Amino acid sequence: MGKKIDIRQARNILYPRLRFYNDQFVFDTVTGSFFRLSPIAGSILKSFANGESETSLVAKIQKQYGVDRATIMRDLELFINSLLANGLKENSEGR
Amino acid sequence: MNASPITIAVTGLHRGDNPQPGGAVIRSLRRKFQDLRIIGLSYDPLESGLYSAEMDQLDAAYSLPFPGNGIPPLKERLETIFQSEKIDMIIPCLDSEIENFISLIPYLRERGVQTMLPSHQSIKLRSKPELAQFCNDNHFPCPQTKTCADIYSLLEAAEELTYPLFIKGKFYEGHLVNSVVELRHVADELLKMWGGPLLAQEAIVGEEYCYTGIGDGRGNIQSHCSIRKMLVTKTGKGFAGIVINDPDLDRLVERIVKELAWNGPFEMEFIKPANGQHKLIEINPRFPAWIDFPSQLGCNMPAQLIEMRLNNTTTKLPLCEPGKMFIRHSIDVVGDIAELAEMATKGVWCARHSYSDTELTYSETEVTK
Repeated sequence: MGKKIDIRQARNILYPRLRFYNDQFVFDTVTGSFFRLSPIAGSILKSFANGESETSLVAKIQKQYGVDRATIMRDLELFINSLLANGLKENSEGR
Repeated sequence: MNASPITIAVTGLHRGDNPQPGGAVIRSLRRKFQDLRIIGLSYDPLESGLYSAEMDQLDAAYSLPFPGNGIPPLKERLETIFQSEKIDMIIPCLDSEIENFISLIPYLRERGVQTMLPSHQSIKLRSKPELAQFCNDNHFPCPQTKTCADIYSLLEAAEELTYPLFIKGKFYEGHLVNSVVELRHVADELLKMWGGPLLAQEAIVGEEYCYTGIGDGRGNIQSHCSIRKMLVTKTGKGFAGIVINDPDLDRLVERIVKELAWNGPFEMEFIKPANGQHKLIEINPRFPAWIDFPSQLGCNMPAQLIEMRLNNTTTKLPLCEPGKMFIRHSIDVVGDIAELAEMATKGVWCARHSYSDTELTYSETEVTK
């Protein structure tokens, strides 16, 4: 099992380093990686990285897509986990 | 009477499929100083930069003996060139020639020629055969590497590191090999081309990063730019890159430069496995072939280098903005067999008009259209 993701910590890592180009393209200034995202993923990541609270983000997704809170929380963790695995790794500056 | 222009000599003029840095250095210099006289020092009449009529155009070119011939023939040739040219600074751009030029620093100084080069000790520590030991001694992450004097020790090293692995030449080239047969073939080719020793290096899968800068010889970095390679050629050369800003990488390079007390331009190459550390692959004792990219973003390191040496001044250069990217774009330059003949027979070639005259010609063409 991987280590438990601390969403607040992940946000602190992501916020200063991500640049968004419309809702579907994100560039990581630290690793130089860039990703094309689905419109839903892009919108969630942008809100998340820009500092929207977890509660507000979950409520927004719940309202928009009619999914239960537990599923959203799990999906959010998996999403952040996959970003970290794709190279959006914490650097020592953020520790 | 006008003062004579500052004259800078540059090597590494070929911009083929594995481009040398000289052309990019010249372009950077001309971006800041339009009235420089640029002399090309060339090892081959087919170096493409000899025929360029663009911003990297030369005012004159002189042939040099191959670096492997050693210091006396180089000194003798430079002495001949100095009879025709008052050179203010030489910027060597090829790994294989740097040590010869370092050995000639006192002679060049006597002749009024400036250089900004690392010490013999720094060069030795970053040399391919010594680099892994240097990294291990100083706790800098690097791939597992073994230096092999002959094919037998290379085969043993390959067994230990397991296939696939990289086989690298003393100065240039590295090839991924998957079997003993491939290893033997690559080793033969590299030994024929560059001589021994050869290096066996563990193959690491990851993103590749380059970091270029100027060391001040006292352990500090004057200016820098770091990129992730976006496109890589078969020989591992970056054909496109994007600026990054990674504080971890910056700190690692600062430690390496400090340890080496590096003087002059450098390029460091790293590989970073997913969720791993940057591992140092090599340190090149010169500007990279992409050095005109940061210059176009306002971070003109070749211009800073000559200001540091000729004016004793250091202008603070801006950092390159993450997200700016370059893609290499090959073009065809036109030459004439007469120019090739001149270079091949006399070892000297002079431009028909200077770079500023060439610009005037372009403007006139524009007007008549």
